[in-house]
Amino acid sequence: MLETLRKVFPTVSRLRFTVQMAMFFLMVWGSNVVGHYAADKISTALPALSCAYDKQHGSYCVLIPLQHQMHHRIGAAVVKAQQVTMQVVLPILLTMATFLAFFFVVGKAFCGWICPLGTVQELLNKVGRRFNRPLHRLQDGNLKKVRPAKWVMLLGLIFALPILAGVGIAPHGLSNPYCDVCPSRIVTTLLTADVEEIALKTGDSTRMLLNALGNIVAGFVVVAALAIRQPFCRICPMLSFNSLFQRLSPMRLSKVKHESCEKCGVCTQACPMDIPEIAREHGRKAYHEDCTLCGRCAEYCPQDGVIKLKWGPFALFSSSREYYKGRVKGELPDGTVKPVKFVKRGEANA
Amino acid sequence: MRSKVSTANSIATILLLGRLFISSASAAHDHQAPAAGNAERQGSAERAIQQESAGRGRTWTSAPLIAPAGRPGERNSANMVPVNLAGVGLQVYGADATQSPKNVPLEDGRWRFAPEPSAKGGHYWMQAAEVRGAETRTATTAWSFGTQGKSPAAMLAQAKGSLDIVPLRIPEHGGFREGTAWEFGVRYEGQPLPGAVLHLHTENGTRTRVVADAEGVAKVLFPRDFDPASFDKVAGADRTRRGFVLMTELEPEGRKFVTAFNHFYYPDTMRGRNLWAGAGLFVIGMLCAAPLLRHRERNNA
Ligand code: SF4
Ligand code: SF4
Ligand code: SF4
Repeated sequence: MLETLRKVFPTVSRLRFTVQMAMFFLMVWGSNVVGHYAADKISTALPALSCAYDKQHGSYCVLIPLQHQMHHRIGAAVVKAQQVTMQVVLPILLTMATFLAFFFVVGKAFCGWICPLGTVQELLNKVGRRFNRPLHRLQDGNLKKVRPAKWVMLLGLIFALPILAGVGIAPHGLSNPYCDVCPSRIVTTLLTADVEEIALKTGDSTRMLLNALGNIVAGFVVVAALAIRQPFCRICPMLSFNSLFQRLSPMRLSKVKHESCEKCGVCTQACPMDIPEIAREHGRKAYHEDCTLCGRCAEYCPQDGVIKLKWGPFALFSSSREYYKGRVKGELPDGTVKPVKFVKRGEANA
Repeated sequence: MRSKVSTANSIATILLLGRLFISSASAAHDHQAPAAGNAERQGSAERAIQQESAGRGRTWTSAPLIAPAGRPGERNSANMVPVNLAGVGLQVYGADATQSPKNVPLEDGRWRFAPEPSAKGGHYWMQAAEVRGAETRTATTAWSFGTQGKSPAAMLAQAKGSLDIVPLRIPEHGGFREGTAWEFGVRYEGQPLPGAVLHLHTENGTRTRVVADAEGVAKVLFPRDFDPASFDKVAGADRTRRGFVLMTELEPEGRKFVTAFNHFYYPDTMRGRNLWAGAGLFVIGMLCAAPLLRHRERNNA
């Protein structure tokens, strides 16, 4: 059994790609399988950008109920000068409980293995590698500037603005501001041949501006993903939200100290989030808030047992020199593969 | 007075506890439930209907209707009124088809319904039938609470009256929309009724008929009959809605059945959107990222 599995999935990347594809179909077109009613969905508080605006989704993301609860419950409660009653708190607790129940099992692997927008970005980058496009990596200086953005997105767009809109301080058009700029809304609906979401909402001016920004961001992400790995993930509020709870899930990345790490750094090269800490640090610090648990660092670490993907005490995958040797034959750590070259007819004949 | 408030509070708490296992996305759909909406006005239920009808043409249909008349923002209960129907009780079917329907009496001209705490929220089927001699006039509607309950598939499949008109699917996101086609099953004594003629009346004035196919299913195309000037100024086209009713008749063996299903429909989503502007902005975003593809890293080449 184990042998057959090994033959079908010779690498973690192959297994991950298969899971990503299966989840992609489920997230984007899944209602055709699971059913159309909200009650039929896998979850309505999933820790990944599976979009509620996609009319064929099989589940949807936790950020939409969160924004609505901030707007309708907390905002409305403040307006009515009520005490924060169970009626306000309970739905939020329910959302969190559903989210955590899912998060407990696979943790941040929701990003690396399940999120449809993560998968789209990764596929696009594979196309970029195939066609020999440049790979722009975010190094230390840029990383420092970009990293806080995901927290600003979470605090500003998921929590603060919906509450302010509920209270009446901010315009009503800011009731679910993150959804208005979320590229997953546009990308996943386009994949179901639905153009409603890419069309600009022209009624409310605040919403129109946010939607305009959302369209620009989505267009940017689609092209940038050819040359930058996971460009939107760097600023995604779901990443920061998930990272708040990443220590609560038994699913995690573990790294032990090794003397060659300082000079090696292959794991960082392999990391789609360009996380330098995975090479520099060990222990708790190596499992960084930006990590999506994709497992590439463990696949490309050439030292036996240094980086592991673990679920509680169980090592699901452990780095090894043997595995590394086989892995680099197919694809270099930074994703470079044998490029598709366009050769002019004359050159080909020469 | 105080005891009434505390009883109401405890009922609210029980209701909330009953929702413990409901999926948490309740708020996501709060304003999509047909419950809270335009028909809601202060004062008596009849006045609400009369005011609304007066503004948009008093009698847009002679079909029997079950119309909402609750307060704006009403979440855990439904207030309904009969229209073109004498004072009868309302039967409310829940998503659990094994349970018998709940009878709600007409009090002060309205039916007040709140789901049992254990039944959570979700979809309900409402039906009121008036017998006038040999004629049975039945009004039906589907009602969805913002909180998520069970799938209504079994509830829709269940036979409820002698003559039923049932949508094959209850819309959850934004409802029936103009320009879209929805399927409705017509059944008599639980059996499909091929060739049944359904009359569609909309509050915007359309009158048309649709014939059910061999399986007793009628594909109803919602007419594009909204006047842009009628769009809700604050909520926009997306949240403007008007009533519609589908009605059919059958006269078996000297009896007569008139059954209607009423609900709301909304303007086409694209009415408040501009596809070309959206696509243009998307392309601008793509162009902004294009330099990333050209700047080759020479030392990597
Ligand atoms: S727009 Fe984004 S945040 Fe909103 S529901 Fe869709 S995926 Fe979730
Ligand atoms: S960080 Fe990336 S993979 Fe994770 S939810 Fe956001 S877009 Fe998806
Ligand atoms: S640190 Fe490792 S598991 Fe985390 S994102 Fe980077 S490569 Fe993937």
